[in-house]
Amino acid sequence: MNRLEVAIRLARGGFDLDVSFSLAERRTIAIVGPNGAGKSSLVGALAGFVEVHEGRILVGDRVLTDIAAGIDLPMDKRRVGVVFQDHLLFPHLTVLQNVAFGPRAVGREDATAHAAAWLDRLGIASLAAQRPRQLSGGQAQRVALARTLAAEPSVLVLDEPFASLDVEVRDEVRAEVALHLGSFTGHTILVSHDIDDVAAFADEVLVIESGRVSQRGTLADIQATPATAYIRRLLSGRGEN
Amino acid sequence: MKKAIAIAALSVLVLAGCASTPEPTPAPATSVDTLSGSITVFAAASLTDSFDQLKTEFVKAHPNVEIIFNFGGSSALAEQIVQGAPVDVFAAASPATMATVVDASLASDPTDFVSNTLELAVPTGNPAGVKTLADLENPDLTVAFCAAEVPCGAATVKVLDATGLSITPDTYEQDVKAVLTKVQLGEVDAGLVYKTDVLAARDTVLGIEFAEASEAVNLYPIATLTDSQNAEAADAFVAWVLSPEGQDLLQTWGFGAP
Amino acid sequence: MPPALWIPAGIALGLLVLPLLGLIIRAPWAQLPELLSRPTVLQALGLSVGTAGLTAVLSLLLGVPLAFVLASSVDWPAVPRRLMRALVTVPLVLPPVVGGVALLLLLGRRGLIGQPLDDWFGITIPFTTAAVVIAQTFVAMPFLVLSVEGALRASDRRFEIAAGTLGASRFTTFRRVTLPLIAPGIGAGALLCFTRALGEFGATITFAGSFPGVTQTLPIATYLELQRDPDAAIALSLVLIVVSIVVLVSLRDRWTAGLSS
Repeated sequence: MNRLEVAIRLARGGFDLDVSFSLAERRTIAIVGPNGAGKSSLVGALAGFVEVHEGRILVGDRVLTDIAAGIDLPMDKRRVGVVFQDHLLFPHLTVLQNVAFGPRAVGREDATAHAAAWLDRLGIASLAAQRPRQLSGGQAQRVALARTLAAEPSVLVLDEPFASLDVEVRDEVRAEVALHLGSFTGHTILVSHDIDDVAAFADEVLVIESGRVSQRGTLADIQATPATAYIRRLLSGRGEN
Repeated sequence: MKKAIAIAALSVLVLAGCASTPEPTPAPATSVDTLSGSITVFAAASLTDSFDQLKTEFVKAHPNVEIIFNFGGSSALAEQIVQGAPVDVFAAASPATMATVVDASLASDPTDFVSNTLELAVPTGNPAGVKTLADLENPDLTVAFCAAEVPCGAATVKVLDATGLSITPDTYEQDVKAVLTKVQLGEVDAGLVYKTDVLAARDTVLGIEFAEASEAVNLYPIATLTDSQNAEAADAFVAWVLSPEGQDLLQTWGFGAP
Repeated sequence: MPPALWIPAGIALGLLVLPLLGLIIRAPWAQLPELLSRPTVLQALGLSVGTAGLTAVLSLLLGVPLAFVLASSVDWPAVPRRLMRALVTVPLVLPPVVGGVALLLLLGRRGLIGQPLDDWFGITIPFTTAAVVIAQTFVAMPFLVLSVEGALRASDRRFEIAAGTLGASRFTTFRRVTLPLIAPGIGAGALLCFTRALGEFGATITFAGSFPGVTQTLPIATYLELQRDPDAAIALSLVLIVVSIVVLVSLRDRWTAGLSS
């Protein structure tokens, strides 16, 4: 069994996070919580750009972080892909070059063809020669997803991926992403404050408030017995963001 | 009664005070005391130390006159005058540079006031063991000359022509003080500067005279500018430079008679 | 923009443009071809462009890394951080001749480093073309450093994080993401550096001296020529202006693109 095991503590500028969870492969866990709860720190810790002070992160038997054993792999070795809220597509590269960036960086010979295939799969092959600044918000997020998936990560983190999109576009992009995630073989983590995202993707939900887990379970579990005021507001569609 | 004594005592004191004040000695009645204002003097770089001393003496006799100096390569100074710099007196290191100013109708009747000859200068200790001018032909030596455009450079060219030596320096500096500085810093093994520069540099450089220097004697002319705003003071300064005392002072700095 | 701003702006524009106009109007156009084809002129021009080019290259190799160090100094404590910035900016505020004197005291034959160089290896630096490049680099490199540092500060470091998560090593990220993103800043800095080096006079003449073909750059030749033949000096000045304008215009697009992006 290839499980993602996370059990970490970190402190960052007066704030501290103490979180642990476990996830089976091909499953998606939604991390929800108000602003400042620690979601971004968790993303950073998983991806390797936020320093962890105690704990472990394992993917199957691959150790990404084990502070006690002195192990903390650098970002480029962790195979944790991130789709950022504001896509962060490289402005000086075309869409195709952006998507081919990961495969090229690891020395893959057919990087460009591989990237083109991913653009095809997501139905955006027509955008290949465009520059990021020419894309609409929805197009850019699709390209960002293609770029991350083309790098073949073992853990996929979607960090508030639809928050910057217009409401009309959001449903459409969400549906597409859900479709493609269906064939993703790794572990997926979705960070969001939007209950519709959770409903569309998540097999499990982890609620973080003030750096601590306040509830965990399936969406149905949480809907049945919401543990905090925040969760109740979230479920009614009026969660803080 | 007491009042009267007090007044008397006070009067005595006042009179005594008046009596003990010394009589002020009258100032010597000389016509030069009427000079005032300021004059700007452009002078060749080689005149720096001697003219500073001339100024000190001049100001002692004429305390109300302010003298502002601008020392530099004579050709650069002449060009600045032609371009309109407000100047009262020009002392050049060659008749040619003075002619530039005269031709522009900015001065007339220049008078030669000193002469200067070239001398070899080497750093203290003479690290390259230079003995004669001909030694400079050695390409391994680092040599500095004045650029041909400036008077000391023109003299250098004349000397080289007269001796038939072919010396290629490593740098052509834009005025004689720049050559001297390079020698003082030990950056060059030898430089051709004026006798006066060697004297002024005291023991920071070693001077080596050479016979052929007499082939190129630089005459220095001085003149008041026609547009001078303070012709009286300017003429007085020129007269001071040309006076016997002024000439003696200049010769202590190594200049020759004009 | 308030219309009243046009008055001081107009004066500023006049101050910048009218002297050049004066030069163009006074230029001896008829004698220009003869004046400019003199071997000394072509020699000085070639030397100036060559040394300024070398200076730009040297400044790129040394200055870009320094810019990175300077940009990272924001995390340092106050005293080392301010000292670092002051050290980089000193050549900008120092009169060039003072810079030349300082270089002599360091690299001259009796200088701190120059003396051992001469005693042990027989290498002397003053009066060589290398000395010209060193003098120019001293005065011009800070322009490049500050331009690149500005570009670094303005760039979004999260792109580097994105690159890392895609599997790019730190060197690959530097090469394929960081550098391309600050390329306009590097270009503008190299351009400023080149044109500043082209016009350098005080430090060069003090440290490197003046000898035709070796160290007599165009500004020095112009200054000397002014004392003998003002027309020739004007001709040389025109050459310098034209070269500067050509360089500026040919890189204009990339420069303004960098400043506006």
